[in-house]
Amino acid sequence: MFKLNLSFKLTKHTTLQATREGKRFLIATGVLLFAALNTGNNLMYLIFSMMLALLALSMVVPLVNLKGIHCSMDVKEPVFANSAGTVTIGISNSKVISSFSLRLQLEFIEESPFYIKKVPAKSMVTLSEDVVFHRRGIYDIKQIKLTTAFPFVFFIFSRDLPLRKKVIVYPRVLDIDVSEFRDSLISSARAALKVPTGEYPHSLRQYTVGDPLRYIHWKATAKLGSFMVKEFYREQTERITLVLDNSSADFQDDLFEKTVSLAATVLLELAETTMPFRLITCDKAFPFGTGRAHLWLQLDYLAGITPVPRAECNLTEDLEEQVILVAPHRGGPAEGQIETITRAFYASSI
Amino acid sequence: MPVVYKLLTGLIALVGDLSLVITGNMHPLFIGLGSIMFIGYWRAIKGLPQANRYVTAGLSIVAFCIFLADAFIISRDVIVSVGHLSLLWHALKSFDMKDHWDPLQVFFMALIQLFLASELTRSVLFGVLFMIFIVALVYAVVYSHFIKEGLEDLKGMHKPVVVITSLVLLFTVVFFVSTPRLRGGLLGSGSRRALKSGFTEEVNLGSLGQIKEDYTVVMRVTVRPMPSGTLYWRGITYEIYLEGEWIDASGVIKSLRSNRGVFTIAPSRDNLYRQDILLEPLDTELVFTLKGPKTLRVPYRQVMLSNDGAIYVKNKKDKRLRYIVQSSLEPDRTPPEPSVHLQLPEQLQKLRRLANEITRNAVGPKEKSEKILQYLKANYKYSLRIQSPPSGQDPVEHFLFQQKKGYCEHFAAAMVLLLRASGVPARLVTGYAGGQFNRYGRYFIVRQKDAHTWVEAWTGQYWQEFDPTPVAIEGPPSQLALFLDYIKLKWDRYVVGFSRADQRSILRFMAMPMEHLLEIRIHRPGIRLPLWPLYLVLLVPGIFFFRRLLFRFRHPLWLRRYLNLRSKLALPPSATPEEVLTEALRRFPDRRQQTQALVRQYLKTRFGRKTQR
Repeated sequence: MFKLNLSFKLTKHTTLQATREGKRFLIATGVLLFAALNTGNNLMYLIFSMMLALLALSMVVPLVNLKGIHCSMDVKEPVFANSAGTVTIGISNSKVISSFSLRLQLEFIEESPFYIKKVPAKSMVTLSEDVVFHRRGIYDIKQIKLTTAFPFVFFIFSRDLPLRKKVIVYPRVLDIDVSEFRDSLISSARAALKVPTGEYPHSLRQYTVGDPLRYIHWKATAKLGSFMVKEFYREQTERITLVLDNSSADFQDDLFEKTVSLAATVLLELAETTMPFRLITCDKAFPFGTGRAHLWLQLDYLAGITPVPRAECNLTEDLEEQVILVAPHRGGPAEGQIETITRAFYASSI
Repeated sequence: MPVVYKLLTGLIALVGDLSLVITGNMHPLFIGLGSIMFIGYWRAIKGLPQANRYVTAGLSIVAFCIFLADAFIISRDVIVSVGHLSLLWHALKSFDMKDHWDPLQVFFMALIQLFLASELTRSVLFGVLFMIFIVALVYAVVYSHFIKEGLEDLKGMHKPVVVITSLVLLFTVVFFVSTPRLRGGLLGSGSRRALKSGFTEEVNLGSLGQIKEDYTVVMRVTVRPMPSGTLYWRGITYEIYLEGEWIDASGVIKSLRSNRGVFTIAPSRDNLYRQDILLEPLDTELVFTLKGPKTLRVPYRQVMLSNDGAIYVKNKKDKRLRYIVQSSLEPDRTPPEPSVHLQLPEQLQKLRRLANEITRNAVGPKEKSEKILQYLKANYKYSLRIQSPPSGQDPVEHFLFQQKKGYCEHFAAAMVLLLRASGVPARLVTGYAGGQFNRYGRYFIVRQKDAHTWVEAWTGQYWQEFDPTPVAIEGPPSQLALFLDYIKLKWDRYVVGFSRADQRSILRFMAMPMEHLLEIRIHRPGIRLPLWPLYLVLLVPGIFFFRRLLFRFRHPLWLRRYLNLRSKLALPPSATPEEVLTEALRRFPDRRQQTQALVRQYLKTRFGRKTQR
């Protein structure tokens, strides 16, 4: 069926689009104008004038409505893909008259929940909504689309407002049962810590939840004003390397995402233990470390990770610690390159 | 759907239906069927289940079949049958209010009904309904906007809606006044229907009785200055009397020349009486004036003038007409033609004897005329209930000798014939006499009942008017009726009768402060004085709104360049000059030096010791 698309770019940042009702109203106005001109009947001119007045106000009021509106945006971090994150948008109105019925559209959200009935003159209001980010990645939000059809339903006006906001959306956390794996890791870590034979403290670090109280270095704690714990030399087997095979031989997009999500899920579990861990991928190798800061560093990387051509993938580093492999499926290149894999997770089997 | 929204929808549907009903063209059966919508909307408001879509679809098909039969067989009038269909449609739709789109369909249909009604009526009631429609429509469409956005109430929105409604009304007036009018229409002419009242160019004695009881308004007249005595709006004169019928034998119709819409009837002089007349559609091309018309301003190209001073506007039939006449009130001095103005049927011997008896001792035409006038007034009664004369008997002789009562036609015809029988040239004049003076607008309302016939007799130098009809006493007019008529006059004048000439005069009025610039001359200098302060008052909000445009050069050039750069980069208001510089260098790397200098200048002036200017 023929579809009339009436959309115009009024300025660089402002567009106008006629709605279904608007198109019909425009046609009716045209017909009435013809009838009025043809008959010279002033009552028809009167009806035509009313329709023209409605159309004119449909054009003028939304433009005034959008004028003087500025937006700022804040996202409560961390945000994981496919789970809700709280987005707060501040809308300020610098005009001397109020603005009504504004909808704010973020480009990555299909149906925006950000709608405000009224922004009073010379004031600011905030809107907080839970938004689901469907894809992981670094969202560089440069603009927000402000739309309004107020006061009628004939035309929708949009204005792109500049915005500077980067949101890191971490990979989706998979709902898989890794408790057995985590428990085994934690118990082995505890066993290692309970037997400090041959271990010597080599440095101090910030206390994190789960650290045994007996390793608190009280002198340093008193000096620095925050809890510090001793770090010990450990056996190589107590360190864990997570190897993520992101080489792209036969990756389908969905499988790759699943693999990355799996790696993030395992990383989060590793962070729950006190063992030093690290992430190695085809194009990046992190040093060992513990704690949340170390975790987020690696998750930041996973948020933006892309597949690497198989020829460029190098996972042949000499790995003597425990190695956990996350791969798209069994029999990948990593299995041939690494001999010390203690545990493997395959995205295809989830 | 909120109840208020349903109520508004019902109100709009009702206004649409009423606009058709007031035209008087809708069949009572369809009006009755249309009123079923009250039940439909009551059900919708109560939240009762809506009709099954198969039932509404079936009934819609039935309604369409009725429409076809109506349009091609029963009424054979497309406009009326579409009106009937719309009444049925509203009734059906009232049972089918399911989603957001349904009320919008009702609004569109009501709009179509108003459109149809505008072709069928000119009533001021249409204006009242139109006003209700605008207010309800604005509220309803704003409501529909919020419903589309997922909200259910207009709480806190009433003030902006009132402002928007006022703006719609204001814009409507502005567009109505400024939309160009095409003379003659795009495809030749319109299909406007005639709204006729029954003035007739034929005078058969006894035919005027029914008209004398008709209160339909024929014309509304403003006269400046106000003359004294009863005003006679001349139409046609009749000269030949044959078997109860008067015939216009004045002959020689000449075409008048127009100079910018003004037709000169006779050379004019000072002390003219200006009549601004709004004439309702009549079955004649004749226009009415006070005696001695000199000029006529009328929006038509062809105006004809008969020998006895009757004025005809070609092609005006069936149309409401506004025209301005300047009359001197001087009597006609055209000498009579004895063969015409003394014509008297041979068989009226009895009448001749009576004339001789009445004027036995009178000398000269003036005295004879007075004697006959007094005789008729003293011996005959005014009555609208008269009997027809026996066959073979002349109606005038029947009036004079048997009936002895009658109305203006009988009195005037009798006087003309009696004058002729006594040797005085005379003629019968038809038109309207008097009218009701409306103090609210200081104008005369002339109705069908004011249709009148009087006499003009040749006194030797000029034709003098005589009105032998006794005065019928009427009760005082209702003040409310007069006020409503005043409203109707304004409606007819400024809405229904709005013209290109009005647009020109408004333009002249608006352009007054620029008259020297545009070389437009104002003909009424007295109006200038109060208008200049008005323009000054309007200037203040004008400056307020356009101040940014007016004072755009208040900043020095370098600052304007900096601000332009900022707006080009579309940075948020919180962006610092450093951020501006970074973004500018990224976007325009080839203008590195100029940009750096510009931002340095800004920083130095804004935060340094130098002043801005």
